[in-house]
Amino acid sequence: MFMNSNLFEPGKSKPERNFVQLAVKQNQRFDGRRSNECRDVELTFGADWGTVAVSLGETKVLTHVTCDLGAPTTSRPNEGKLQLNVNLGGVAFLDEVQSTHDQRSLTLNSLLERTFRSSRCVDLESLCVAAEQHVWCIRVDINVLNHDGNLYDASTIATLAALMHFRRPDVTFADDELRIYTEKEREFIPLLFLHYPVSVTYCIFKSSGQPIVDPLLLEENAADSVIVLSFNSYQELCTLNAGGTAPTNVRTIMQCARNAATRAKSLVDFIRKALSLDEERRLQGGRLVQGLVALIGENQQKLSFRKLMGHQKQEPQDLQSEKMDVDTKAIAKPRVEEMAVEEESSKQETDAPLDSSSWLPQDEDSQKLPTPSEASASKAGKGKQNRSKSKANKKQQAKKQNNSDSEEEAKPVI
Amino acid sequence: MSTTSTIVMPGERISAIEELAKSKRVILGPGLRRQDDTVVASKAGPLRHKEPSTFWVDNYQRRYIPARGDLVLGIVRSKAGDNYRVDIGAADTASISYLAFEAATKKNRPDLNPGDLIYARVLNASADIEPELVCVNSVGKRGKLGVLAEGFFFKCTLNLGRMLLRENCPVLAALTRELPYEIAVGVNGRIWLKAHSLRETIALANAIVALEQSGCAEIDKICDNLGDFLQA
Amino acid sequence: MNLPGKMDVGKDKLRQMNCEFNPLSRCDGSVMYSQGATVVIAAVLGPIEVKTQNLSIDGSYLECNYRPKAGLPQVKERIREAAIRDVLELALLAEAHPRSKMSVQVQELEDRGSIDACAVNSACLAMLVGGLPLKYSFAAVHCIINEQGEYVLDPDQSETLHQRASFTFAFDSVEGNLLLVQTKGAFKIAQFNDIECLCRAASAEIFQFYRNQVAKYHGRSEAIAEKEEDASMET
Repeated sequence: MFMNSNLFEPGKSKPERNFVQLAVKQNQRFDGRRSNECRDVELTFGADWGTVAVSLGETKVLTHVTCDLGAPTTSRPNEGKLQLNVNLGGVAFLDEVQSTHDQRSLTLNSLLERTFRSSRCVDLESLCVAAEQHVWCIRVDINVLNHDGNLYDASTIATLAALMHFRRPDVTFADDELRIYTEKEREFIPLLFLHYPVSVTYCIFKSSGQPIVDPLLLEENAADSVIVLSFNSYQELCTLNAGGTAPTNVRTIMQCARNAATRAKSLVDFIRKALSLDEERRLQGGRLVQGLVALIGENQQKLSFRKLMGHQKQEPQDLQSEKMDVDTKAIAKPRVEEMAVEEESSKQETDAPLDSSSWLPQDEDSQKLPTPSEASASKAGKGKQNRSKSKANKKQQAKKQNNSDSEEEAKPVI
Repeated sequence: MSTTSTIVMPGERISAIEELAKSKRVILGPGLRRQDDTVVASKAGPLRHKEPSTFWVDNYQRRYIPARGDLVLGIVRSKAGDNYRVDIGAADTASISYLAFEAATKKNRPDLNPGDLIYARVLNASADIEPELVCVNSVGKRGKLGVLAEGFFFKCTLNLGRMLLRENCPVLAALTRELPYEIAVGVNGRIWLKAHSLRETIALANAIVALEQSGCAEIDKICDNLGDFLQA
Repeated sequence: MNLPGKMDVGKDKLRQMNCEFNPLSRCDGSVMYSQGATVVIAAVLGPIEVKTQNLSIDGSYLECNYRPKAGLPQVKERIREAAIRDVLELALLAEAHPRSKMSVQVQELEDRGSIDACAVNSACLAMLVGGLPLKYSFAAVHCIINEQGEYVLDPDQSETLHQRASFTFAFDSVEGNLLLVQTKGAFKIAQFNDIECLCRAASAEIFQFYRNQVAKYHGRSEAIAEKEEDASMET
């Protein structure tokens, strides 16, 4: 219930709740979006490695990655550590009632933990310097600057982008002596990833069966339940968080999952593209790297999803694949297949946008979907030896992905 | 209102007002204060002047400071004895007696619950006491005040609220030409809206929020957009 | 476009300042402020309800927090926070809103030198935007003495590596009184006086920046520019 006068949050008074319920029923959203339309995402990279500011509409999050050498845990002596810290206080001025605050930061923290730590997206073994003695501890600080709904997606995008942007110094360990090299002596090393997860959030209202994606704060506060799904770029489910009081049927969740998988994939592509642009700028010289100064005013340094990814939905499909091809030259070969899969599914999505009759994955294409991406993944050589491990993990979490999953598990083994 | 206004910064002495004050009474509005014999600004913004002798500093403030006679939108937070506690976006919660509604008696209490939205007038306000609201005028009629049901409710800056409440404000008149609606504007930067359909309400709310960015001057453009949107 | 480094700015000049008003939607006033490549964001809320233990019947209570980019606030951040609070407390017209709280939050986004001064300046701008009553505006300037014994005003982080001494001064806009003095390192009192003069001169530039930004925010940038032109022609 709305309780703090000073930190007025939209969506907590009775008229607002009723209004939002009505609006959803009539398929209307306050900012004119459709129920399956997302806000624009903007990335700004800081001057330091691992600093990223993300804005999702008015929601703004700043993430900063730092690293430290430390001792590993006794249970996993040859693995580095990944620590995630969410900071909701400060300039965001959220509802100050302690219970709301605690609950928010807990949910957000657990979502991030599950998305990034439990899914083992960072190859922690590569962060080991000397087993049982020295490992890298990666610390991610997520500072929420402004909350206008969908903190989950903003934070996961920010965290993934920051981790991908981050470089750690090189280190050698010889004769019981650690030597950390500065950037001038040896180039910094990026982290190794097994897969790239991001989340997509849906809100569900009792008044309508139609879930809405990327909610505003108004919608989020008025929603009966919030579903957060994390998918990686191989369209595997990493986290599913479905809370709240609205009774939701399986169909709705499956429908969300399908759309989320596509969205997550394009988000990861966007982050990759933004990173390569940032790298280009860094190579071109110090002048172009403005760091976070770029956040002020309109600026070229802000990398927006709509601009980078083009108008994916409207553009003719073949044109898009051409463009993608050019952009991702380096890993083009295996990726094209992936791309094709995505187009297929996005086509389906545009053809039959979200009406609940066509949500259920047709048996044939649910099998088709994961397999080529699986193949291309192994071809791309990403995730190398640890691939199997992540798969085992996935098995636990991706139970929701219905029975076709087990078939897909079996295939690569053969 | 004078058009040529200078920007004043906190701590600045405004000698023009001091000169004027020697000959007649001067009214100092928000952002100005008297310090012994000098007039000093305490906020930053353009200095405004209204004939004959009212001065204030314009400022895009978002926090409401209660003042007697203001029309405000409040949300009922709780019942406390004979009073309801109402949040009006100020430092303190305001209180409203259950007798301050039309035709309310000790037996016949108004039915208000936490979360309800009311449109009320500030009866009492001072920095040292909590503000008091009423939902009736001096003869006990409710007029436009009272509980607001349904509709949509959102927050804006105080400036926008004040602008809409101005007597000869062109905005609301222009919007009325586009479509019929009900509106309640609080000077505490909260607006309640209700049109025939939900779609219209949303469109109107967006039009009003857009005013904040562009100012009154572009009202025609906004109305055009609104018309287009509703036809689409 | 603005350049982060200090390479193109003289040693006795401030780095380029830049700011954006109200980038955040949930507070009463906020500002994103940059000086060279150092970026901070400050937000104010007030007057708001105060907890009983902090309640004062003759003035408002000031809450001030500084958050670093990474990790929890440590001793260094606490000291910075205290410095900002001290300056704000001097400048805030507390008696205007008794029994209330003013909350000021400063979030570091990127630290490339003179973070203390930037934090204070951004807090001042946030107060101006939020319409909190002030006795005067204030500006802080950072200056160092480098290895060669030269004075470097508002240094970039790269210049502070081998500093001999560093100074941060804050001045008020009305009488030019010193509101804050922070020094570190060894120096002669004559040098202190020199640097105080240098910083005082620089603070005037910051006050002018405040004024221009406020004017711009109120949509009157052209008028100010004209006026400035007139003034410069006269002198």
